Amino acid sequence: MSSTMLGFLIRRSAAAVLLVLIVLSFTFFFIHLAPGDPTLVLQDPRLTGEQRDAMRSAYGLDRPLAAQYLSWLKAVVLEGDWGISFVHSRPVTEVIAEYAWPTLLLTTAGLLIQFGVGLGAGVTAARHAGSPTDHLIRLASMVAYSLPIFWTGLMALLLLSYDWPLFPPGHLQSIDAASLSPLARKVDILHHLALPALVLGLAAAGGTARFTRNSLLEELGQDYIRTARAKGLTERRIVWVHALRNAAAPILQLFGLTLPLLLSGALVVEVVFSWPGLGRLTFDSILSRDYPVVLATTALTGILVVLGNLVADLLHGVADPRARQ
Amino acid sequence: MSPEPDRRATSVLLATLVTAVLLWSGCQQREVGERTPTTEDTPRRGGTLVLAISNDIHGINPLVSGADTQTTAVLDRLFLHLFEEQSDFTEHPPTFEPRLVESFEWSPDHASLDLVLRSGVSWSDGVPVTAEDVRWTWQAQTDPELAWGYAQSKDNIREIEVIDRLKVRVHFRQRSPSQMAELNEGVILPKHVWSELPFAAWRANERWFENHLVVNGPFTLESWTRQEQIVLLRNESYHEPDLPRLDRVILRVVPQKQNQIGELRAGEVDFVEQVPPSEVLPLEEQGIQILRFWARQFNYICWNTQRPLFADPEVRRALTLAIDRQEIIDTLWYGFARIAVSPILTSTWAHDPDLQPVPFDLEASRQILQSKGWSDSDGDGILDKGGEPFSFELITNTGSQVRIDAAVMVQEHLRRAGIEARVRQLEFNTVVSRALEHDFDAMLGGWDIDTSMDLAYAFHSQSIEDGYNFGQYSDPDLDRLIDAANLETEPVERLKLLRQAEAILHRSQPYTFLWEPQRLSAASERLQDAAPSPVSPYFRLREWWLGEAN
Repeated sequence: MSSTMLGFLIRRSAAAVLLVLIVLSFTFFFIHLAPGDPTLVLQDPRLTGEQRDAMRSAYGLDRPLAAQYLSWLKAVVLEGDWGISFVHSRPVTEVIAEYAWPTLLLTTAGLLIQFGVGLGAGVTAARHAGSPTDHLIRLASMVAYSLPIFWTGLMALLLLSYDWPLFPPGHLQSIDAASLSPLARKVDILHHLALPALVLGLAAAGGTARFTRNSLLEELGQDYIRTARAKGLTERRIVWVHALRNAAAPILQLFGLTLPLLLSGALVVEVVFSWPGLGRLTFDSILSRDYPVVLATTALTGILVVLGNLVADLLHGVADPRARQ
Repeated sequence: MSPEPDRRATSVLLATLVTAVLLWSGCQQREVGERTPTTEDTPRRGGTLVLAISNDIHGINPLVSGADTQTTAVLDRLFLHLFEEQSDFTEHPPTFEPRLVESFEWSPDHASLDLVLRSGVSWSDGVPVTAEDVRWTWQAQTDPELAWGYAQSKDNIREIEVIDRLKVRVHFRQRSPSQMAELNEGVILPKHVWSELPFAAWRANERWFENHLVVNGPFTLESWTRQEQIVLLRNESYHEPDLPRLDRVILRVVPQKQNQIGELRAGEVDFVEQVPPSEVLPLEEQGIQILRFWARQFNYICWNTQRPLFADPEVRRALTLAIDRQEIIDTLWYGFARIAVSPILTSTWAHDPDLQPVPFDLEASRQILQSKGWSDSDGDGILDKGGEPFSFELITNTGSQVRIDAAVMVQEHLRRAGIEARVRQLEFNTVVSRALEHDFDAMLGGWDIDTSMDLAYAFHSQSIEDGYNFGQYSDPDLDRLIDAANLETEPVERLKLLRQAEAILHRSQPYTFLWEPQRLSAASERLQDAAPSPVSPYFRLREWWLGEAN
């Protein structure tokens, strides 16, 4: 790695840590200033004000906000301790680790579908610009991009799970998954993953396809492409080796920027498909004012944003030598 | 351009492979609860029941995680209460059937209660349940560091004394009608295992309890996959012969109500705790059972009586008269609800059957408002007095579509009476927070209540500062009646006091009491003897069983 690149990475990492800390501090104060607290979620006539105070004290919420912030910051920065979840009564890191992998699985599959289908459709549309194929792909992309995920999710469930039971109706695995062999269990998870990943990935693929088509079309109109054609290069080589490489920079940036968005997109899919994951955890934690979990998931999202940007910059540098300067 | 045979072949092969794998996996889905045929009128053991639940449980320690209804409903199948509250509160105060207790005897002055525990009850590790468990559980429930959400229910218990291995004496501070209910709040926990962890560490170590779980209830926990499913397994050491009937109960977390119904229709689940009224007919037409009962819930509009608009009880009565509650029930509940009369539910023993709901009478409403000086002087369709329009904000919480719809209907009803209600939806926490600070004009909400008939929580003036008297309603006569009723142990005398209190609330309308809903549960055809009740959605789950579906 060149010293320029190393310096770039160090500068970006330092800025990233600072950025995440600022985001977390804002989140800490905003969520504590939002109306309500974890004890108010339990609106039960039998729960007295005195008992709520006792619970607040047990959660450490009876101390001044500044004192809570300083002790929380100290624990996070110096000890890596994200605290104890009010709702789950366990260390937050343990809760996050448990909920992260289904989301990671879903978003990775979604990302693969998004870019696999999106790139393929975008390149096809650009290669056949103006043809019925192009029109069809553009229309399909626009429809996929426009339809709300919760609606497509529900329709997919209705048609492909309830009416025509090709896929299971949501969930990560079958009810009796524990009794399956390790291989059958993996296949079972893949079977459950297919529909939510398709819904998540195809919705995003619409945007990727349009982005790819436009970016590639611009390149295909350049002089060097005309030269390449004049030299007798095959159309496939022209598109995939020359034009797409130059069109790749903005697409790769899109890839980096899409990473954190998948977490929020996954929330809807997780709810519709009863998929256990970080999206639902975050949503429930906000509603129940589980401050430690909200802060940890916010940090995770912040880190994803920073990482996404970093990956986008790095990939841009790989694709475009001028960007390395 | 020419096609590329090699790549196309690869794609086709890949697609075929994926489809084959998915279809093969689909074929691997096994029937849950496969059984051998028997006669349908004889309860029998076996099978796996699948229930759909909207939310996951929070943990398996009831004192740390048991403050939400879903968690309580599940944990009550793992751990026994001393008694089981019955849902027979229609004619008299609810009775308590002994569960962990074999017999009990009150002292003549009701200051103490002797309990003799069943001798054959043991924890799932074989250790007998003893009087020490009962006393230690009470100590845990009242430990200040642990801060159990319902610790206050034990305030009236001065001491629990262990007399011998199976006998305890409960000493109360004073006699009250809710002694039994307060004693029975919370389940009995295993001292011999859980006392290894200090109370102060309980809130940070939920996993420890999962790893050290012993139970005395009909079921034990086989597995718990967070946000996915909870699997309960028959507790083979459970003391009641031939119970529970089911081998396993799987509680499948399905957040979306529509998906719960979809899975019920598809045969993936057997029981959905609550279905919308609009789904009742279509489900019944498909042969799905609808199990209904009157929920211990009433919905209301709370008027902030310290705001000038709502300070006068006559004006509050005029507002109630202007709201067509039957239309709300017919439109939103398809008739599966009835007009609420007061905070004493019409299905309970304490309700006065002679007290009729305030009728819908727009003309009477207009006359009252006119007599109070309200008129539409500027012809804008809204009543005004002294230049001020009769206009206010009606808040309700998001997350309950029926309340939001009801608020819009109320807005329209009041508009016809010349009153402007500006409906505002707020997040639940914000609504509660503003209600506790009395920072609202009017609020549409609901109360899920128990059968204690303690009206102090929302209507005693002491609850304005420390309680749920959101509307700051204050009436010394009502306070006196509530206090007296909460101490009166003679049912007949108590009934008189409660009816007087009910009459005051009916007359002064601090709330407009909107509706009492029915709880509509749906069950597959094969589920037998399911008896969801106001006490629990899984009431007597140990007696549910599975027959053959047609």
